[in-house]
Amino acid sequence: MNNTISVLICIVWILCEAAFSQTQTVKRGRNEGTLYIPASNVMGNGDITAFTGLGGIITSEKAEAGAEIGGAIGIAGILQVNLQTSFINFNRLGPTEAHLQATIPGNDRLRFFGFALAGDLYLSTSLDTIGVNADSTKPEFNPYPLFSAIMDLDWLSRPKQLPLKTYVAFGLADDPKLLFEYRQLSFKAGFEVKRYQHSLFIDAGMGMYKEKNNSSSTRQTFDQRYVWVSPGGRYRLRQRFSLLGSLRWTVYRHVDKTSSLDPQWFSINLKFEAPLFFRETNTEAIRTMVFIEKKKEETNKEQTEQDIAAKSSVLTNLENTMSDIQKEDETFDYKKEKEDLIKRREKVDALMNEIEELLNEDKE
Amino acid sequence: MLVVLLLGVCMPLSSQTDYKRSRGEGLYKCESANTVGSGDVWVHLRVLGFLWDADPEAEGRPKPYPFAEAKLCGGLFNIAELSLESRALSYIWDQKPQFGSIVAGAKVTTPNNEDIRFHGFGLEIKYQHNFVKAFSSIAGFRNEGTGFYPEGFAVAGGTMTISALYDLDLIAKLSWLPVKMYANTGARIPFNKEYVDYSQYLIYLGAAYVGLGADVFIEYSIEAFGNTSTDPKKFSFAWPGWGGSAKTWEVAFPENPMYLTIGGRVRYPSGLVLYGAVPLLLSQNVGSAMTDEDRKALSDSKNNPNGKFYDEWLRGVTDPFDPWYAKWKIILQASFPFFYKMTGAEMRRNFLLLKNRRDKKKIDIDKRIDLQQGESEQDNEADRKKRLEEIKKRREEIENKE
Repeated sequence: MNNTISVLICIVWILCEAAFSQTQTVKRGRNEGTLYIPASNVMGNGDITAFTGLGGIITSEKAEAGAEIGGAIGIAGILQVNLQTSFINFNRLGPTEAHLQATIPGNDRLRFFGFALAGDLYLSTSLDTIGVNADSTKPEFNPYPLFSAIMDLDWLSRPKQLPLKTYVAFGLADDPKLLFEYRQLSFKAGFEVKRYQHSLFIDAGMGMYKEKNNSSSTRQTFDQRYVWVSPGGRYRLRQRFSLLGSLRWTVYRHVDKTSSLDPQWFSINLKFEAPLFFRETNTEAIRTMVFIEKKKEETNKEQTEQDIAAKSSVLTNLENTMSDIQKEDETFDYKKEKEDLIKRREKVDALMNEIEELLNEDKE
Repeated sequence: MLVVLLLGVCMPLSSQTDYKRSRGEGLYKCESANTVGSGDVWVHLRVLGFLWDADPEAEGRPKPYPFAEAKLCGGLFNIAELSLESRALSYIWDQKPQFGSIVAGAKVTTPNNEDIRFHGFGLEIKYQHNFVKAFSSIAGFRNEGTGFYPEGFAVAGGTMTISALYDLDLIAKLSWLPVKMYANTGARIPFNKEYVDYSQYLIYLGAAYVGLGADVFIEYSIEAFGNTSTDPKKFSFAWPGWGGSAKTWEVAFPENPMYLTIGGRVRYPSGLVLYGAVPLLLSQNVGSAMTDEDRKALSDSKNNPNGKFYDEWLRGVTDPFDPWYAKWKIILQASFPFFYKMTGAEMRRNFLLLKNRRDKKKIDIDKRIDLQQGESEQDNEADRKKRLEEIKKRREEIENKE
């Protein structure tokens, strides 16, 4: 199993190197969030990202390591599918998940408020021997179709252009391994300082558990819960690959002593993300331009303190770009862009309608 | 396969926007009534997997069942399609992989498929030869390669499947609604006379949003045993592995393999099509289940009118049955055309989809920087030339003065 994972990682790395050897700007995915909460935006149409992760957890009774591998693909500009599976202690198949995330319109611009709903399909790999038709000789591996919601605020789109993104997420799964045994609620919040390449974030969350009716227990409320915090960061390698890491502590835990529930006390997680197929989205292009503009302002400030003559002779390419952006004054002028687009669209629509009519006549 | 798949995806893309779509694209079980274009050849490589049962030798760990399949489809005379598919890697038995099956099929459609059609009708005939000798079966209800697989009932040797195909393509009438509905119905009949009574009728229904570069779909499928009444289908066998003792069990209608499949596909201009689907089991248990508790209750119901399953005992049932099929499966597929010529129908579909696409203006940072760099270099070059010309002029002036 270890060899399989190593080989897969190597293949992904080599292909990525070959495919993206001429990168110039940062390849930042629109769906990039923190380690525990993805952004409400979805990936660009047809974009594919592969990821792999390593982690370890410590609970009251055990220490466990694990690995995960998966991929995500953007569909039609407003949908994204994530598939992932994991390996417990590197030798046992863990939860396998498929998520279909749909976001609200405005996905392809730098929006302040973002919202997404996700259909989460957890394909259980835990031996369910307590289900209605299951016993120890006939375990079941049931699918659990659930949902989750994500809301985020992108403060970079505000006039003050703060490089901060805040997230709130709600879901019906906290630990997929225990879905056959417990109904679950998960609340998460995150703050991310999102810089040009790298970012720092802190997540906090609460998991609430209620034993299922078919369990021998009589506890019927979400009275078992724990609260955790997790600081971490995203470090971008070679402007396109992301290395995410975080530490997670449980700061509050209320678990019944007679329950088999044993939430983790501490965990460490590392994740590597590689875009296999990437096309720049407007959202992230605008974000990049905001950072470039800011950099230019900073550069200007420094240069006013220097010799004006020297300054004027060393215009960098970056500054030229920014001058161009300023001259054109169209990057952020949505109204103008929209009007132009509508005019062009009307012309194209008229032509296409003519072609369609001709085709229909031909068909008849 | 993974390398081929990734290479196909990572391949530098041209500015081509005509996605190579197959006219005969179906869903998971649902087949399209249409056929692939004449002379076109498509290859489909598929991996499929699920978890089922537990491995007692590995501390009760989940037992994964991985399979590998390949399919080749070729279009003929614009209205016919021939296909050859194989499950190359099937159930592992005694730690040895077994060859699964070979399926040869032929499909014909009504000859009005040159353009997109609102209604489409087709007929498909398939011959399947199942080579599996042994497999992990539901409750041990198995005679060599025949019996209840985790995926449903199957018979060793030859089986014939005949299906009537229909699809409704809404884009033909409403160009802004790229939705396609599929309906297939048919019968699967074993060649082995002993099992003919256990032929199955098949119903597959599906709906798909067929986009320019991506599709999403949902499908319902049932493979049911034919019954002349609403009573459960009774099985009564004394197969060799059971030491001569006969077993009788019943399969009620809700216990037939029924799946709800959700999935989608993404097309790349290079021709590669990536496909993923997850079938989820809908079948429900009726009557006694195959748990220790129900086995005992069924046994206790013998001559006992107060027994929990007395009615089953009266019908001669000796063993319980429940739909312990794989609860979920994962299917991943990569398809690509070996020979391809765009058909009129799919060209028109691409046109209608492009026409109704609300595409946005893209901002390309790299291009902007490149453009700026290019302009800057051009400016420098122009400056150099200008300076050179000025120097030449001054030189000529000086020489003239002299």
